[in-house]
This record gives sequence, C-alpha cells and structure tokens, in this order.
Amino acid sequence: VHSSAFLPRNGELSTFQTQGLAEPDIWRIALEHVLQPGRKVHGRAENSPGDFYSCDLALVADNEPPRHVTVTGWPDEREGKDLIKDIALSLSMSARLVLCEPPLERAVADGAGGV
Amino acid sequence: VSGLAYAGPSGGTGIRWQAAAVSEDAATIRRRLGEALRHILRTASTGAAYATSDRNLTELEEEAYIDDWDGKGTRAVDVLSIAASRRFLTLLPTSFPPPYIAADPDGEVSFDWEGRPGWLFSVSFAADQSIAYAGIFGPARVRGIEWFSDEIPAAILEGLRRTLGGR
Repeated sequence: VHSSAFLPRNGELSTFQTQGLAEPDIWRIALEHVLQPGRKVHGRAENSPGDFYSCDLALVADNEPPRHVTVTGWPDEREGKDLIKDIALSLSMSARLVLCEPPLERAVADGAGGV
Repeated sequence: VSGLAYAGPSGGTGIRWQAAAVSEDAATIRRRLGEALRHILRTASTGAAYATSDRNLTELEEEAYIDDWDGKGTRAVDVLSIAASRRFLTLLPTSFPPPYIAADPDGEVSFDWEGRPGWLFSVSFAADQSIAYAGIFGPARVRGIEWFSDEIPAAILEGLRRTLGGR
C-alpha cells in the first residue's frame, strides 16, 4: 500500500472500524461512504488499533457515518513532513492489503448505485 | 574533436572518440558531446522504466489538476512538484527500479520503493524544491528534508541503495 494513503488531511486520517464484519459488509461501507463518482476502489488496507497506538496516534470513534473512526494526534506540519512520512511508512508496512476483484465502481448506465 | 563514434547496445563498446584539439572551445565541445552521449546511453538503457514512470506522472497530472480531485479534500497536484519529480526521474541511477507514484493530500508528488519485506523508502517533492524523505530498513529508520538542485541528494541516494539492496 502506497504510504501516501496513510498521510493525514488537515491533521486527520479517515478510517472505518471493520472488526467483526463479513467481507460483503466491509465492501458495502466502501461503496456507500468511500467510493467517489467516476473513481474505483481497488482494495483496502487493514491495520490493527495497535499499529496506530504504537505511532502515538489516537483513534476517535465519531460514528459519523457509522463505524467511522478518525485517526488524530499527528505531528504538526511545521515539525516537518519527513516526520509525518515516517509514521505513514510505519502504517503502510504494518497494513494488510485486501484487493477487491473486480474493483468497486458505481454503475452509471442506470444512474443507480451498484457494484 | 577529430573523431567520434557511437555504437548502440549491440555494438559492444558504447562510446569511442578521439579528442586531439586542445583549445578552450574544443574542450567545451568535448564536454557537451560527452553529456549528450551519456544522455543517449541513459535513454537507451532505461527507456522502458523511465517511460513507465513518466506516463504514470502524466496520468497523475491529468487526474489531479483540481482541488478535491479524489472527493476526499486532496489538493490539486502542484506543477512545481511534478516538475521536480520528473527531474528526479532523469537523474535516478539506471539500476534502480521505477517508483510507485502517488499524490499526497497536500498536493505533492511522492515516490515509494519497496525492497525486501520490511524495507521501504519514500520521497515527496515540495514546490519549494525540497524533498522530504523517510525510510525503514528493518529495525533502522532514516528521515529528513534535503534541497534538490542539480543532483539527487546523497542522503536520498544512500537510502535508495540501502532499500534496494546496494544497486
């Protein structure tokens, strides 16, 4: 997983808590809350909470939308991007990549959401 | 310069030339011919890898030219970052594999390389011509920020060589 996927936006990284969910339910979250028009979801990266805690990050379960967890506690950008990249590399290395075959995309012909 | 010959990849020796002239102009011409030949050789030997990376950069540029291009608040990729990353590619040693290319949320272009399991190296190109880098080599780590001018900074080359097994 490319390390840029773990870089925060405005000091936050958006994730979902998927523990205990069946595969179809996990991909349903991706379809409903992650997939953007005209784009595809090729896979997901799975990390354990410990992966974030070991980088001194915090997990905030805001449940907006349900199961959404915001990763906070990132160093300030003024402390140097290299420090943030170092954390992103750690998360990338500990992530488990799960590919989606075929990639998720919205059907456009009928205007309805679907895979 | 009284004689010059270039043999292609199948021609064996590569470059042959004779430089008998000693004037300042001749030295300048000799130096520039040498630079041109090095460029030709480099293109011949790394064409495929460079072309792949260059194509990926162009695709990224076309896809990420406006803010929020991914619907997640990512900034448009910065043209100066693209330019720096392209220049970096042309300076990359021929033995290095092409990087994995992506856009960072702040609009910078980033390259990742993966060595053996647990060995990763990443660089991000800022608009101000600095490069932020980080690497993990098993239990060891490096990170820093370097200015990028005419050469790839030594610390970054060292990190790449370490990641990719001393190439």
